[in-house]
Amino acid sequence: MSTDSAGQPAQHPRPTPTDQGATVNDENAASEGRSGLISRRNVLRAGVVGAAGVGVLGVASTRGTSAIAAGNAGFTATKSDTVHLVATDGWVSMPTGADPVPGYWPDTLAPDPYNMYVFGFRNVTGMTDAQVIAQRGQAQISAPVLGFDEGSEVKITLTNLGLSQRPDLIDGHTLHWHGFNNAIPIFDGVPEMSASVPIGKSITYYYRPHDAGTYMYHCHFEDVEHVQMGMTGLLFVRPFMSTYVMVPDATGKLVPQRGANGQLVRRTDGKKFVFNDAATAYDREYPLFLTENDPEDHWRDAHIQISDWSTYSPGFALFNGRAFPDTIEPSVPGFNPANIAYGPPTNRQGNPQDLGTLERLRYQPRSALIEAVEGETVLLRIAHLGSIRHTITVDGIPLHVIGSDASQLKGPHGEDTSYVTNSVGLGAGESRDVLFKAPKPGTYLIYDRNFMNLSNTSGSGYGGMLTHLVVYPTGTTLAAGKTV
Amino acid sequence: MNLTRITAFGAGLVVIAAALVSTSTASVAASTTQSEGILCEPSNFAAATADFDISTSTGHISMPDGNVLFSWGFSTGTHAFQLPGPVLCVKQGQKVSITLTNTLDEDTSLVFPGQENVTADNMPSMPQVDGSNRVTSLAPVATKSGGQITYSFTATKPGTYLYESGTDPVKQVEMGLYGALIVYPDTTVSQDTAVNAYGDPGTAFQKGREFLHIISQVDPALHLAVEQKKPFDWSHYQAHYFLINGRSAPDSVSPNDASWLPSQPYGSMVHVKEQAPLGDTAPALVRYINVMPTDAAFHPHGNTETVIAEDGQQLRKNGVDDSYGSFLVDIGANRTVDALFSWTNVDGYNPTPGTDFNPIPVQISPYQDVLTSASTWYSMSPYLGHVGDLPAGVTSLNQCGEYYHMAHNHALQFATNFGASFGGQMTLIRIDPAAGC
Repeated sequence: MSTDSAGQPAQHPRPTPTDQGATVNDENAASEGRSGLISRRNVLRAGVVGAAGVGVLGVASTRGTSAIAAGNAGFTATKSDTVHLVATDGWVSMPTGADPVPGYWPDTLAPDPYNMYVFGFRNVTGMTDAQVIAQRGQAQISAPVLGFDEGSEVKITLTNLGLSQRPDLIDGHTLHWHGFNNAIPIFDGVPEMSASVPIGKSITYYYRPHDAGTYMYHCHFEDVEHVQMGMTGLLFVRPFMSTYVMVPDATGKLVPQRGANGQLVRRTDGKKFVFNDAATAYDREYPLFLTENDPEDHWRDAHIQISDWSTYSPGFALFNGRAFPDTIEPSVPGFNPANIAYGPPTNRQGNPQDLGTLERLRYQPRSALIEAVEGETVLLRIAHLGSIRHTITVDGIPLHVIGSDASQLKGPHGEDTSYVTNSVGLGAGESRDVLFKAPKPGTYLIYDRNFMNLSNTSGSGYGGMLTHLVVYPTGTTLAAGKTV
Repeated sequence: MNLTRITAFGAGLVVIAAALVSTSTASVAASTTQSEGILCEPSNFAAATADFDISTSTGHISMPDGNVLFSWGFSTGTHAFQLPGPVLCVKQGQKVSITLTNTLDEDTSLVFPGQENVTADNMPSMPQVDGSNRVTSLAPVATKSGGQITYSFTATKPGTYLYESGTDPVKQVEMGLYGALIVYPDTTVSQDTAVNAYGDPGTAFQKGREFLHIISQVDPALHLAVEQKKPFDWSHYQAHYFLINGRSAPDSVSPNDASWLPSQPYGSMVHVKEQAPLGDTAPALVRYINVMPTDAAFHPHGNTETVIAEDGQQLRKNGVDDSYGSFLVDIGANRTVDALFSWTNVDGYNPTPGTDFNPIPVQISPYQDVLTSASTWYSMSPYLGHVGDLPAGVTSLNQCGEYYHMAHNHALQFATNFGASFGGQMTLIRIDPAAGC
């Protein structure tokens, strides 16, 4: 058995959730062998970690005025994460009860039961080549949620499968980790500053996340089009404190503790944190990923027409790729095809798994329903890759905003600049880390207080960026996989 | 992608290629023409009063897709017409006196958000009302066709401010009547030696690394209607061009005073060296001003910026530094933000065998297996300061293996030229190796 630098099995154990993973958020973790799968990536990780040995963690501050780093101070990854994404097109379903947009939506080309054309990513980690290729034309929105550990090394391979509906297009694709600090251009994914992936090829992007927080990722090839078409997702980095016992170093900064043998000491209490700060502890976390789409633009891409992207006027406002009432529908089981616990990869042509009424949402797999038990501290990771401002509101529940754009709300000398509100405003491309205490049992609304975004295609007040927070009585155990 | 966009994109890149060539040939004279950074109107920080004579003027601006738009602007005579207005740089404590001459066929005025005790012809400047208490202007006017008025105030606080028309501002500001006003701390000798935005250690920046992004938008139909003196139906207002310092990407990265943009003198490319003992040892300062009626969500690639001030007020209260890290600088409508940017080679990637040997641990795809844009800022090497082989048929815009990152409005409809991507409110951040280029 190989070991990581902490002397633990390479099968990196995460803090045990209190309730069998109702709040597991990252789809890459779901493919990590929870089910006992000996995957290629586990083999890869064993190799990397075996060679790494014990070293100094390369921790660097990235604030604009930070001290000059001494380069790579013997960086040793604590863990390796390998993810394989494909980029392609596909069809999704906006709420079927919405007023039609005459001529544009529902799209007459869409195969039943779908109604809107999209571009998107798909997580194919661990799949065979044949399974990977079979994902062509099966993009999902939002993109798979990716979660990584601070101090790990991350390899994300992006394969361009081309567009099944638009074989005339030769678009490349890229991966842009939005907000990654001290990025180098080759892994920043801007085609004009580096390279993009042609159809049939792959690029492996490499990152060493040094800063915990909530980020996002998207394709930057012809960005206005590819982002609008759906190539967007949420990404987050867990702090060392969620894995290791932390102690102050000579400067007072918290760093992972080393045991007598020089190896990092794992924490055993299962506590989770947003940043390396005990004040940022939480019990349960959810992604809330904000986008909007303009049905006319999506129709034009499907029908080989040209859009003037400067006239953007969204018809649907989405949480996790879904508009209300789909936001509160359950997640689609098996949405990570690599997770064999949920059965083999599925597709709509040869579907071995009957999704029933959820078939409509096969390519919008992530629920936006928030569930918690009274008294729990809930973390909302809110990220916005749409194009208009949103103000996420929960009435009567104080929202403690502790992070903004993957930076803890803390001044350069440790000043607490976090704040409490019930309306969290985000411009396009921003993220917020929000904690709240689950109040007394009941159902609460989480919504964009801009009424324009509380409808689907028309001003009915029914739809859009609205979901439910359901709080259960103390002592309730949330069922496994109930929400994700 | 479609043919129209390919063509528009290609045309833009040709312009950029010319721009970079010009930058390098002009660099000999950089000390006098200052091809990058903030280009102030000449002014003397040692004088008790900073005097500026500003006239309205009209002219045309060019967009990267070939469109030419009638526009209004302010000018001191350095340019017969320019967009945006001249950058007015003064020192804290100086009296500022600005005489406005109105050549337009409608009244106009100036307002100075954030300045105190502004006078107009020695009377307090304040909103003007007619007999029925309707506000006709936010400040006393220079009357149409030749009117003149002098605004004065003492620049008591350092910071990034704007000046703009206070008369029919929805139209007049959109038409181009806006500019930057920068107040330097009272210890500053001259703008080109400035190293601090607010006189506080937390607002220090690298000398010469000071940049301006004035963010605005244009509806070409409005500008055509004004040019032709025809009525305009504001219910049909739709901006199609989105500018930084009066230019739309990729023109935004052309140097200051580029000869091919005679009425748009200000570039916006941010240029730094990596943070290193022999490179930059302090961050760059970016002064953002948003004159659009909507917020601007500006995203610098490459690194999180530190927001140090808003509306000319340092984020500091009761001795507590309230600056914050932000990978998305959100500039509210008619507001200003100051942010610091730096870039550090944190992971120390180095392809040269030796004590610092530290190659990127994944295979970098050979150029045959990736797409490279027809003109590329990429050096074809992932390492800072290194240059790789250029594919046949590709034009390099890279000089020495420096890095380029994008910086743009992340409401991506604003990062277009009439809908075509890689345009609009977008510029570049250039990062040179510590040893320079």
